[in-house]
Order: sequence, then C-alpha cells, then structure tokens
Amino acid sequence: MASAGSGDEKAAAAAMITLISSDNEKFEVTEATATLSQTIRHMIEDGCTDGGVPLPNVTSKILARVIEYCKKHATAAAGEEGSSSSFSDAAFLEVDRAFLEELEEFDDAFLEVDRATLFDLILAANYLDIKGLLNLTCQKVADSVKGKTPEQIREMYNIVNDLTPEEEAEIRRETQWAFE
Amino acid sequence: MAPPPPELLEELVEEILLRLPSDDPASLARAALVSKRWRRLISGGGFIRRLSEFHRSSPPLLGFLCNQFHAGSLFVPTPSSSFRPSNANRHGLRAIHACHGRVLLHHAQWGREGLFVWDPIADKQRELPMGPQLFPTGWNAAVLCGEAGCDHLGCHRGPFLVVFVGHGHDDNAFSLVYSSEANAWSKPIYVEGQHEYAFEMGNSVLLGSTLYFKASNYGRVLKYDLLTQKMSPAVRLPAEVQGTQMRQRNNTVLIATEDGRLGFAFAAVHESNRGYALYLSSREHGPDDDDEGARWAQDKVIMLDGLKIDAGSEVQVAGFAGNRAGGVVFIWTCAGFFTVDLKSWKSKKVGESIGFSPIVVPYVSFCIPVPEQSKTRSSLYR
Repeated sequence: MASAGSGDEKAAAAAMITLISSDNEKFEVTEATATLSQTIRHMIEDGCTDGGVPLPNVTSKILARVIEYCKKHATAAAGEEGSSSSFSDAAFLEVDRAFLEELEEFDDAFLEVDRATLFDLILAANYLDIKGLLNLTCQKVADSVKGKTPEQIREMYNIVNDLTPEEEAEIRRETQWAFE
Repeated sequence: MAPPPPELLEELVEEILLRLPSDDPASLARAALVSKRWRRLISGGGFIRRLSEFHRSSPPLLGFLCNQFHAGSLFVPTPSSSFRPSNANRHGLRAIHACHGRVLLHHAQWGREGLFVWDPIADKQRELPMGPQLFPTGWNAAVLCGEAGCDHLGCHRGPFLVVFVGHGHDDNAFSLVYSSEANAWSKPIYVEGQHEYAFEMGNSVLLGSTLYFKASNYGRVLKYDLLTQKMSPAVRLPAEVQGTQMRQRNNTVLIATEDGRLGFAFAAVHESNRGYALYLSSREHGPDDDDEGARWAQDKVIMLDGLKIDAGSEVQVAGFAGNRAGGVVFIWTCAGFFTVDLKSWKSKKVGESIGFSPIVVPYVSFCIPVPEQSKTRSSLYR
C-alpha cells in the first residue's frame, strides 16, 4: 500500500520514540505506534521521552510482540482516517470491512502463543495501558476458562487451590446447578 | 514444556472473569471454586456492579416463566443460558412480571389470593401482606427496585416495590404500592375523573421512572409515575390493535425501544399473505400527556418465516424483554415459544408451548451465583 508507506515516512520524519526493554534492548517506533499505549502517550505529552523510554517491567521478547500489535493497529487506524476523506461511503465501508477482517485475522494469529506469554502480554498491556490489547488477551483467557471445571482451570493456569474443604463444599452446595 | 504462567494481579483476574459470557453464570460458579482469591473476587459486593458496567448495563436474558394452566409456573432457561434456579417449579403460583432480578407471582387457590416476590438467583421468596382493595375484577402489577436513585447495576438483593393497578366495583381505576422496607401497602390513589379501564395481568414496560400498563378494552395505555405515585392515562394504541377481540388483544405487547421510547409489537398475517409478520411501532416524540394525539410510527416489519408456522395455526405475541443493547419479542405458536431478536431479526425456539398459557414473563438479569461473603465488605460498595 503506497499511501500507508508514505504516511509512515512522514511520521518517521516527524517523531520516532525509543523504547528500552527490561533487558536493555532498544526499539525504535513511530509516535503513532507508541501512543497506542496511554502510558507512553502521557510521557510524550509530559516531554519525558528524550533519551528513550525505559520499560523495566517488559522484557524484549514481550515488548517486540507488543510493538508488533501496536504497529498493526496504528496502521489500521491511520488507514481508516486516510480512506474516509478519499472514498465514497460505499467504498469506505468496503475498505473498512476489509481492514476489520484483516485485523481480526492478525489478532487471531497474534494470540497463538503459550499461556505464559499470554499472561506476560496481559501484564504488559495493563502496565502500558493499551486497551485493545488488554481486551484481546483477557478475552482469550476468558474463552479458555469457559466451560472448564475448577480443576482444569487450576491446572491450565498453575493456580494452587487454597480453599478449605468446608469452603468448597459450601460453594458447591449453593451452586449445585452449575455442576450438573 | 512451556514455563508456568506468571501470577496475575487481582485486578487482571477480574478483567478475565468480567469477560465470561454474561448468560453463563455456571462458568462463574466454577471459577469461584478455583481458589480463595477467585472466590473473593466473584463474591465481593463490587463484582456485579463492574459486570454491569462492563456489559454497558445490558443484563442478559437468562430465561422466562411460563404459566401452566391451573398448575403453576415454570422457569425455563433460554438455550444459551446456563442459569438454573434451584426450584424452577412454582407450584400454584402464576408469574405476572419480572424486573431487576425479581419475579412477581400470584397465588389464587381455594378462594384465597396472594402475591409473592421470588428471587430465582438467591432462591428466596416472600409473601406480601394483603392490602386494601387488592384483587378486584381486573388488575395488573409489577415488581421494581425500591432503592431511591438506584442505577440498577446490581440492586436485586436490595429493597423492592410492587405497583398494583386495578379497577374497583365502582369502575374507578386506582393504584397502590407495596414497599419491602415498610412491608406494607400504601393507600389506594384513584385516577381523577370517572374512568373505566380493564386491566389484564402481564405485560408492562418501565421507561425511566414511569411504568406503562395496557388497559386493553379501549386500546388505552396508562402510566404510573414512581416519583409522584400517581397513575394517569398516557396514550392510545392505534385502531388496528385496539380491537375488543381477545385474539387481537393478546397479539399486542408494549415494548421499549433502545433509545427509551414506548412502542408495541403486534403479530398478524402479512398483507402479502406469505404468512405471519411481527409489526413493531414506536411512539413519536411529542408532548407526553397528549394521549389522543399520540403518533405511532411503524419501525419494522419482521416476517416470521423462520418459525415455520403451519397455515391456519395461531400465532401470539407472548412477551417482550429488552435492554439498552436491544430486545427480543416472545412468540407463542402450537410448535413452541420462540424469541425474535429485534436487531438481527433472527428467531429461535426457546421452549415447548403445550400446556402453557400464551403469555410469558421474561427474566433478564445479571447473575452472580456465589453469595456475598460478608455484609461488611458489600457495604463498602454501597
């Protein structure tokens, strides 16, 4: 897409941000990509991004994935803005639909990770305050919990059962219908 | 082997639990058995509020109550709902109305009448005391949240009201209200002037603080203002649905539009003769008290092809359930009860209809299956 490419170049000329992972790896990203994170947006607004943004809670492995997500979603957002002024309504809807489908495919593929990575992504999305990514990753975990027994959920997510047998019996008694 | 996932912050576990389908409380019940932390999150008083906020105050349809002829009522879960009340059978009780998590039931046997309010989630039922003028020849009633200024995000364990409207032997229409806090009925308030209204049990619609009832014999709709506790005539339904025949009357239910206006749904054979259609109309904006001049606009005509209704068989509109995200109309046919989604126009069979009266009481509510652990914790969220 030629238009998206030229847009990126313009943004690159305007502002690049350096993100620094907990293991000291540096990532150069456009401001449009970085500001999908509300945390970074606030830092930019406060003018404290010179010399890079240290992210001591995010490893390079996870930060690379997060950036991948932000790049894709920032491009989609820019594409939508660009198309709204240059297409007729019908064409715009068509482009819109194509974008959404592509984005959905991207999101599905993006979520094909092991559970430890998924949890790391949730933690990063929460820390960086990226609403879309937090929603996407939390929904993935919720979908995996749906219909499972407590034992299966504990096993999947490495949770220790610290309920006393009495407490367990009480909940089971009150929600018997949920286990039939 | 993949490394075990790191532990999540409590607020993030909550983010996950909020995203379980809202009509699947069984998944929440099972999640409450995972650990102390998960149980605490779910049974904490603030969870139902955050759940409501997450789902934009649009509680799910968990089921509906059908009235069996002469036997009582039965709670039927909708196909996608995992909620099951502990005792789905309400023997000897007829379901009248449900709102804010509660169901109003009427008992009429052995020459004795009474009203009950049932919370299917907590499985608690309360018999209301008898009040003055209760149970005249024609009446209707509705149960509502009784907390002043409540936003109804998780209030179904709080105080409630029952609004009772009827017409006495002198043909004057009146209303009275029961408060669960006082455990008593108010004095009846009469509608000014002489009015003959024939109330029928069932269908009423709450819009803001106004409750609308059908007084069917004249196509009249009455409104009860919860703030002033006064009832007054509101609007008239258009001529084609105000017929005096039972069949026509039963084929109309009051509905609420997504943007909070009064409407009605009406089933009839489509003019093309291709079968039954559901006609949806809503009241156009205008002066609220101008009952004679009320204008209705037909919003949608939904063909009921999906119901596969045999030629010549009867079709009735059985109820309405709505929230801010849309709504469904219940349809009764010999082949079963169906819901028709007013947004997607999709129809779905939700239960058998043999042996049941063609009027249902939909049950729409958020459901936290695990009771609150301690009162002190819940009071923090009040």
